[in-house]
Amino acid sequence: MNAATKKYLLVLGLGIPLLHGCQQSKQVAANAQATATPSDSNASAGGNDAYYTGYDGNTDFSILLPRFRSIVVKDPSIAKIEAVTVTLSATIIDQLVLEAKAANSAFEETRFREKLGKQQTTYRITPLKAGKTVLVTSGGRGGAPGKSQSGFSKSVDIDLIVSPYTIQQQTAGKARYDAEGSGTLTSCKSCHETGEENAPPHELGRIMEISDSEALSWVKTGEIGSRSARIPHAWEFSSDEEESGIVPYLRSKQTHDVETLTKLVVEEQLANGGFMGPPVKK
Amino acid sequence: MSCRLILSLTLLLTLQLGACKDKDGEQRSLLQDAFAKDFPPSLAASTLFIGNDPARPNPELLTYDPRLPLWSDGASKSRFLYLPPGTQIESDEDLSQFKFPIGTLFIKHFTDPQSTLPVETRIMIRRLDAGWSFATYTWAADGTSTRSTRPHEEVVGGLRYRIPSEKECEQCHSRGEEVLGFTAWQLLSGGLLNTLARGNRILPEAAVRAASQEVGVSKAEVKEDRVAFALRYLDVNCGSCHQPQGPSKARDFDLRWGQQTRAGLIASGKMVEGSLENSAIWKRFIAESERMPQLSLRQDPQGLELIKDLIQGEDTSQD
Repeated sequence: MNAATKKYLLVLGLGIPLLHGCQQSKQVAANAQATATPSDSNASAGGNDAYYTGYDGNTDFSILLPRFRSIVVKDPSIAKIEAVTVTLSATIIDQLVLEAKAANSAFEETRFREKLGKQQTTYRITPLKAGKTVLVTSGGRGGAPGKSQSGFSKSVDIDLIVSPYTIQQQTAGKARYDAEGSGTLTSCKSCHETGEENAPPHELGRIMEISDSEALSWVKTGEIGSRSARIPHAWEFSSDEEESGIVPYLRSKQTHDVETLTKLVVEEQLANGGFMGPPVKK
Repeated sequence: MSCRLILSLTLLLTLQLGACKDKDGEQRSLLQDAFAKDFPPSLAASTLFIGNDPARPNPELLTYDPRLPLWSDGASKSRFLYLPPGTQIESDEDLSQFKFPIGTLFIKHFTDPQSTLPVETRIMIRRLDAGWSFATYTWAADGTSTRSTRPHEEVVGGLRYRIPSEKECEQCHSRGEEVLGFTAWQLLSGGLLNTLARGNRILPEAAVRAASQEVGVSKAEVKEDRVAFALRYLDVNCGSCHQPQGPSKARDFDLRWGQQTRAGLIASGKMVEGSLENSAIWKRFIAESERMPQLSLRQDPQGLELIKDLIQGEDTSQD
């Protein structure tokens, strides 16, 4: 089985929307533990896997989590959880089929449609206030012994860290994201909203896997511990307010819609040369 | 005579001499010490300018002008080189590589041409282990300077100027060519290399003397070959990014001198012979956003003329 096939099966088997970051989350979490400093006040402290989001009383910072049979928020005053059941619309599936065909003529349409057409249940976690709590999960979707297909063990505690943000940070972060700047002030959207340099859209929400200080390091240097961005990041800010606001704004950009996330994940896989399906059997 | 007055006179004398001896008796310069460990928060005590007046550079500084300056939104620029006492620049026989002694300073001072008000002063220094370090200072209306920590714009004399960050300085002054513009072609006609050779501050001196006779071309003579000069312009203004080691967006389009020809530009599709409107390179020079040269806020009239010549002219460059 070649790498592309493995990726295809893995992604389809996982229920595409929820798996987009799971392969990376283990690596990022490991790096985070290696690089977290005492000043990283919102880093996960318990050695658990962690998800990061924020709260400012106004912005939707909800995140979509991988499927487990159950997820319980230990402290319901920090965040609420809801199951979202979605069946992808025929329009979106048709569009993705066209994109996949364009990427690989050997693409297995029937299997693709079958997998994407299934009903999926996702958990949406919506922060209610800043603080830390634990997501107690169980019943990951099988996979290798002791592991769910999402990469987590079948029953695992996941820290949920909700950072306190302000609406002013949102405004300043958006200004930096959209700014028509030059040099190290080049706008984020010039690549991340155009696909230039193969930059992934921030709606994918991978930022939920890293702490604020790690995310800012990624923006400013393209590095978190030993992990480096494929396209070097070296961005700067016109003001302290912009610098303080970029991570909250990036966290708010992740999509809260399962269907949209599914589409983005598949498109990213296609853009990276994956998700093309196994070769046609002769 | 009060102690304060004596101290002031002593300080003044030291400043005028511009140098002192350290505890080992080695000749040291105040300029050398001002930036040796780190950049000061302002230039006031640096002795870079006498009386902190940018119009009065420290006499230890060598003034120079390149043949073809980088476009800087029309700002007037003064350039200075400082070499620590007793040190020399080393070069190879064909003057293609230069190695600068530790403590070397390059200073570029920007002035708004209409108001003659100072805009900014950029400094780069070669430090012991850290290679080159960079700093930018902006000037307030009261004549004070402040080290700039962020990339930003300043309005001087009613015109906007883009002030680069230290990180931006480093991004261009890298890739093995930290001292941009310090080339035989740029400097021989301006006389800096000859001045250095006469003062025994550059080795091998003979190479400079030979080169100055062979390559000593006046600006007017160079400009007669407009296509070649346009390619030089692209090298100076674009070649630090547009080269194989440049940023990912720029590296596939090599614009360094000797790496690009007019025919090559046409073959690359970036330029359509005789057609400004269909030439991508022209569009980038007149674009409202992401205009080239990078960081410029205003179009470069000289650059536009040269690119126009390049698109419309005949190829007389060296292939």
